Amino acid sequence: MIADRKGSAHAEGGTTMMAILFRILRRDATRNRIVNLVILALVGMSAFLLASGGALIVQLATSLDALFERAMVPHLVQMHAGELDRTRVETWAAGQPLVDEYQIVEMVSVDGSHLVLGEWPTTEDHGVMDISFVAQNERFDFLLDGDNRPMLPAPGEIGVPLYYREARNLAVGDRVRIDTGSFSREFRIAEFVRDAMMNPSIIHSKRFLVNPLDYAALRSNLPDTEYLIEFRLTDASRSGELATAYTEAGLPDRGPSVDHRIFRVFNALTDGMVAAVVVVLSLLLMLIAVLCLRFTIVSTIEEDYRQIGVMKAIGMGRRTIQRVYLIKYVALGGVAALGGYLASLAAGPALTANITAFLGSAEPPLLLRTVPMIAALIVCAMVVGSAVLVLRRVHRISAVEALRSGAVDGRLRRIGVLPLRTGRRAGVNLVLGVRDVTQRPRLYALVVGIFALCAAIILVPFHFHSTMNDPSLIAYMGIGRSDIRIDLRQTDLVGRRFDEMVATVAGDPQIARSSPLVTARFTLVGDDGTRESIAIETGDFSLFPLEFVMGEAPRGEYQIALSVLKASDLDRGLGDSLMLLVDGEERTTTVSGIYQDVTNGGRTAKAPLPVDDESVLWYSLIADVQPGVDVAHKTTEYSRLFHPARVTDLNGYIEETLGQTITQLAGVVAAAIGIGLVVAILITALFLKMVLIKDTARIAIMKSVGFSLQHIRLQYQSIALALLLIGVVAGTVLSNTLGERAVGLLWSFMGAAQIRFVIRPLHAYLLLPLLLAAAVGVTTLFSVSRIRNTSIATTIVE
Amino acid sequence: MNTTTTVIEAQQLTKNYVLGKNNELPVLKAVDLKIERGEFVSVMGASGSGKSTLLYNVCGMDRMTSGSVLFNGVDLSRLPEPALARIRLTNMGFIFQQIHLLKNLSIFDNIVLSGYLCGNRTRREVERRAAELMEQTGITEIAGNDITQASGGQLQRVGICRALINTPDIIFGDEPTGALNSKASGEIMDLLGGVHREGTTVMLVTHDVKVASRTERVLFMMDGRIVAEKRLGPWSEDGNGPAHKAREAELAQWLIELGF
Repeated sequence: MIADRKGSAHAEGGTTMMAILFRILRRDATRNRIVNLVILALVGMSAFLLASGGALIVQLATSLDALFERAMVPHLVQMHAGELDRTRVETWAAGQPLVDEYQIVEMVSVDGSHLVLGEWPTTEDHGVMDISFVAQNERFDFLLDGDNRPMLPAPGEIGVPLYYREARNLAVGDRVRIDTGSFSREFRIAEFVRDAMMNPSIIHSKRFLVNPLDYAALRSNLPDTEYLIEFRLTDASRSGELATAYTEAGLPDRGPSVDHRIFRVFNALTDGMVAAVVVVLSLLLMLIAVLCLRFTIVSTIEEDYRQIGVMKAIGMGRRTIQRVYLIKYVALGGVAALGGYLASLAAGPALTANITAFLGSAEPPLLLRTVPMIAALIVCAMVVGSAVLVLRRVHRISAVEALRSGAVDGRLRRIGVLPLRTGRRAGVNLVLGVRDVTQRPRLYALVVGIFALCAAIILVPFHFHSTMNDPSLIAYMGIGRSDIRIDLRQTDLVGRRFDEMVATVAGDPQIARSSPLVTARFTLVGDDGTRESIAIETGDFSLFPLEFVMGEAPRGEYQIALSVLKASDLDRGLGDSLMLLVDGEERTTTVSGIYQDVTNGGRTAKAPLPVDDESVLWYSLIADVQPGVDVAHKTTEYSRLFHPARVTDLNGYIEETLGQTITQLAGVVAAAIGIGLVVAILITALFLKMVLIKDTARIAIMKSVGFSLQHIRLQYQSIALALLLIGVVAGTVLSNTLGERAVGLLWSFMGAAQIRFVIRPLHAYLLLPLLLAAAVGVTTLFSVSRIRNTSIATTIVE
Repeated sequence: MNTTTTVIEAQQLTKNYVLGKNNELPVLKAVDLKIERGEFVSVMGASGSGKSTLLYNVCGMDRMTSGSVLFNGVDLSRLPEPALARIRLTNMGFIFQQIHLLKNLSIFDNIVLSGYLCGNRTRREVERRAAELMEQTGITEIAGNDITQASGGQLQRVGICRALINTPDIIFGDEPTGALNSKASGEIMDLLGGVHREGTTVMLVTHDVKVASRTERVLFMMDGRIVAEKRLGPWSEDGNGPAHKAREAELAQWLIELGF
């Protein structure tokens, strides 16, 4: 009976204990409003970003899968310009057990100068894109409408690649006009099509979809055609094998060959990078939140040291004491995670707008709900976990010690640093403030660390954005820096036209220097004798030198330079040898240099080799104008002169290729600056709140010996600004070293291994730090205004 | 309640503080002490004589270096920390100079918290007991208040209520009146006297002759040893009466003789 009664009393004790814990929580919520709100905001933002990053990744992956499935993307595509023996290809394909389906897609090439999109004032003459018109495929490789269904335009209608919707500000109903002089036709935009193969701006080919009747008309009036020889395989992972077999069979291959993995990488690139930046930001914020949490808990334990001692003394168990403190962090973590999750749901459509526009939205999968939820739960778990870890120090508190000394650390502060007499000139308050920083290094180191992270959160995306916007970006695109670039695609008599073009440019007095570059297909002989085809750019690489990560430009016909990813694919380093078939003979070349290249899937090679006309893939020419010559003017002149060659200036090339990525990144930079400032403000408020609580007695004593409120405020402001200064310097160093490496890691997936930040000193070293300083300064002013309430009388009573 | 007559029995109780490698400071030197059930004992001595250390060691809050302490016949030196905590929660009550209550709880919740944690009684019983104690100590009207809304004397009463909530066998007090004025101090001693009258053993550490003179037995410590002991007779109910004045003078004289 007694045992029963005791049992029920115990059970009831548990629930009443919970009730007590909730009462503790409720009172704490009103007492420590600022501290709680700051932690809530930090953890909430971190949960929001991690959940959003998770949603972005899931949306990206599922949309990409859905798009690839609905579009039935070919596993291997061989592009070919010029004559095509269909029967030969079809006979070969029919005999390949690996080939599940195949088709030859014919495309009519339209020169940019003959195409006007909507109300855009110019033709597509200056665009970097190769434009083709196609009819919908019958078997696979479909161009899809907004609902991811194969689009079937009616006669007179056209499906325009999504890329142009943003780039040329088009809308459904706008007109697209082809006018060659001898032939013209106008189409009405019925839809913007998703082209799983050519969606991304980084792929310089775009397909317009028209009705088969219109296609037939175009075909009979426009002479240039190109082919996509497409295969779907029984085993997609063996596309490399089929590519080699294709090359060995000597089938038509005037054009690059691309496999489905590249399409996936390119499609995922821009949003993948944004998602990665968001996740990295959220992790940084989480780190900050955990550091703050540690700071808060340690301060609370220090403040409540004696109280904890008493709790232990009267027989409260360690777990119970921990629970008294933990309940708050469980609640904060839970509320923040829930808030962050709900906010990520609300912001989801806006965040994933780019993905859904370009890739379409898959059926909302369970994952899209669960991954952000798990992300938010992880943040919550991190908060509770770190609180539990920090609260372990409650175990170390001895009741007797706490009751006897009443302070955590009886050690005296160092007093030797910066004696007060130095302050006669500099101002006693300033010296007192700075002295305090040197005397409590552990307390302040944390804040410096957090300020450094804030600076890094702002500076890293800013540097990255500056780098992406700088012409030196060309160093990562595998080409030398030049004013003008001319690309000539495969057409009849292309070789002769190219020779004429080279001669004309070389003879132009307005041109300072020029260099022809011919990309041709060669055969690479592997260590085990296997052969695969490799596109190599040939020419003189000394005129427009490339930046090399290692080594130097190839000289002579026995040297080759490889892009970072190509070198890694081939497992070759500087000085290693590579066997090529040149003019039918084996030739051993040595790797003379490795460079960065984010174009063409990041896998390219350069060597000054002799080229046979048959194996040429494309021709390019790069040139610098004489000083004083207007590049834009020259570009227009050459476009007209070398029609249908594609003439671009450098900035135009970068803009058209990476413009979309840069725009999205600009959004991330703006958000990062906002987040960095908000975090700096929150942390300053939190930190000063805690320090002022700790320093209640100190302030009261200072006031009693005659320091004015203004003096004391000056001390705390000098502390906050001194910390900010150290933090910003550390953050800048951090951004320029680790930040650069982290961004390099992101870019290495694209082919740039060693990114060098382009730093805009005025912004990076002056304006942004000033912005941070202003935010911290104003917050300090507001925070120290509570000093007013402290008096020696109240402190003594306490 | 336990029925053994001896509540505390310390034998050869020794405590050294470790200051560094091979550097120990002896604070208690082989102390023998017996406190019988229902006694009202005070410990006096100069600062650093070891009186607080003695209190913390006999209650199991501090770990002795050697010797033993039997509490209700149980050897505290052999018990692990959770068991010691349980004994302190259930069988002992503590009053400190600074009371240190949980600042995020009301005064009433601070008192009942130990009762809930103990789990020996139902919630209603705990609350009834708290109400009784608050009534006895005269703080019923501030039950719902925040701890910052109470005076030092009131907070010490809250401390007494907290110490008594689980009806302990013994109350330990470390300078319980040290931070109070003489009026408040007298009131607290009246309350402790009431507790003693109900049969609870009380052991106090104090500097104050006035406080010690109201207890039944005074132990005097010097250099880590109990060097003298004086029995003053039954608990002195009226701390201001002429009889008590004489008792206080007698104790003072005794202490002077001991060099205090």
